[in-house]
Amino acid sequence: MTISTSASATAREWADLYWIVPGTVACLAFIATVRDPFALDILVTTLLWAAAASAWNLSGGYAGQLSIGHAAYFGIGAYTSTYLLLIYGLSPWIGMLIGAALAALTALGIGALTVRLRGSFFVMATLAFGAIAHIVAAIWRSVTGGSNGLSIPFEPSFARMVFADKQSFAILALALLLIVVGTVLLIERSKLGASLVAYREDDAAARALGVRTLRARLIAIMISALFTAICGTLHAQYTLYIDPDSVTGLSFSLQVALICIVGGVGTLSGPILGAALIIPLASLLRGALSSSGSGLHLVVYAVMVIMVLLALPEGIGPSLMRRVRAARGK
Amino acid sequence: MTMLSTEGLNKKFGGLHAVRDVSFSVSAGEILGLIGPNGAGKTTVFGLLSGFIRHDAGKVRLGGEPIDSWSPEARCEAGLVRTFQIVRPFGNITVLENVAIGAMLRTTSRAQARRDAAEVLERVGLADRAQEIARGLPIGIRKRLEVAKALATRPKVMLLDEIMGGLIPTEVNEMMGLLRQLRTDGAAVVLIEHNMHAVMTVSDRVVVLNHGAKIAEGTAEQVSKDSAVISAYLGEDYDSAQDH
Repeated sequence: MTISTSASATAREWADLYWIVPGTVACLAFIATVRDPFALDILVTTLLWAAAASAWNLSGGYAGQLSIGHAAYFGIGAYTSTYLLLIYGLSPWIGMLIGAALAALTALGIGALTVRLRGSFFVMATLAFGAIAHIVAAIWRSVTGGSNGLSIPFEPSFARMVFADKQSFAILALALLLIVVGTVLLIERSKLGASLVAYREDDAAARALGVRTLRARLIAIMISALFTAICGTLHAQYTLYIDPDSVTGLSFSLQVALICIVGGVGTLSGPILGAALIIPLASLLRGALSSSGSGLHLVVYAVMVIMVLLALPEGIGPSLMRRVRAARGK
Repeated sequence: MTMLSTEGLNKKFGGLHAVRDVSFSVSAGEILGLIGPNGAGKTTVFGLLSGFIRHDAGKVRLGGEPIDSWSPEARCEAGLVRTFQIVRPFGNITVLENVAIGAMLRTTSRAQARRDAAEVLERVGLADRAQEIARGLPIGIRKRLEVAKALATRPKVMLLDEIMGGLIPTEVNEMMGLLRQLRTDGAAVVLIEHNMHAVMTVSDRVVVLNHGAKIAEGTAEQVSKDSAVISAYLGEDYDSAQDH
């Protein structure tokens, strides 16, 4: 008996392109044809959330380090580029990279502090870091403007990363998502990806096989933080206004985790499927129900998310794949 | 050539002196049996040798080099690998991917790691299980998977903890064939085993532990006649009854 490792494995390596390429084409077609600002806004928001959730998925999904403090990195990205733009006139393209570097360094520090924590203890620690970030954003007025927030003037130019039309921003968000997904894809296929999965499954067993799980975890959380910060800059440049609640709030941290859990944790397509379902759903419900009583859209939203999770407990991607395989097997 | 040696190894857990002045060595191409009653400290010795537990006193050398301060990962990279008595498969991935994680130690290419893993699976007779998810496999298969993962790291010294527990007799024979093959290939093997027939047949030398201390060392025949060993396993009464 020989084990097929070449042909089928090669086919599997490229299998993701079967949805990445059509998905990209569909987005571009949408951007080229749709002129409705509300629809384009949903697309931009969905793409940004998909990118942020994919970044979260790297440490939260593949390595199983469930974080509900990623708002700290999102906030670092948003505030760094915005502050540098408003005070020094530095282009957000550069500010974005500086914010990403700062977030990665912060993640390295947090990772080193939480090395020994697992399970719910790790989750609690990340919650605390997220809360600290929120407090810092609220009280460090000289940099963040405190609860008044920071406004970016609407002066469209490429160097200032401000665009008059939503199409340009949609293309930028799509490009970011593709970069994040490409990076995750490469990591998934690499030694680093195997190390993260081994850590998630059993740290001691992995170390017994010579897997340097600590190094792998730190690299993963740094890359995760880096892309989350870039999403933060893009969010700031898109909405042109940031305050502590919008970029360092707990709701961001919970939302990225929820998107991955709904879509399928630790899978490449999971965060994208999750974002594609949750973000338009939230926007459409808000639009349709906000006049019929405050908070009603949130109730409906919560009920629908719970229903999806009950129907597809492993997340949309893995649960559907299992059914397709089961149907083929019969 | 001595591959792995310990000198005066000691470990206390609170008031329990779990390992007491244990010294032994194992050479390339040798199978060393490590036996003793339940609670004798055998698995703790593996924990100390593999770096998962830090010893209080003593020396561990791998190929002559002191490795006392090394992490488990570093020891594995240097060629010292262990298996776990309570097997620890990576539950949610396939048997092939489990073994490929071991193989990743010697290559950066996932494809190469999979090819190496497939070879190892052939060797341990798990080729037909390659694409199965590890969680939920029968215990005999999981024991062999544990050995396959360790083998994939291309070790010079293998610490095998109860790899024959739960195996049926034909599987035990296959495992013993594999151990002899490893010996021929020049690996040093330390074997903790409760299957007395197996460990006494396959071991070149046997070290006996009781209450954390080494009470005998020699060939299987020598230690099985040793009165300290007999009383450790069967009680003082049985030993003295034999004399009359």
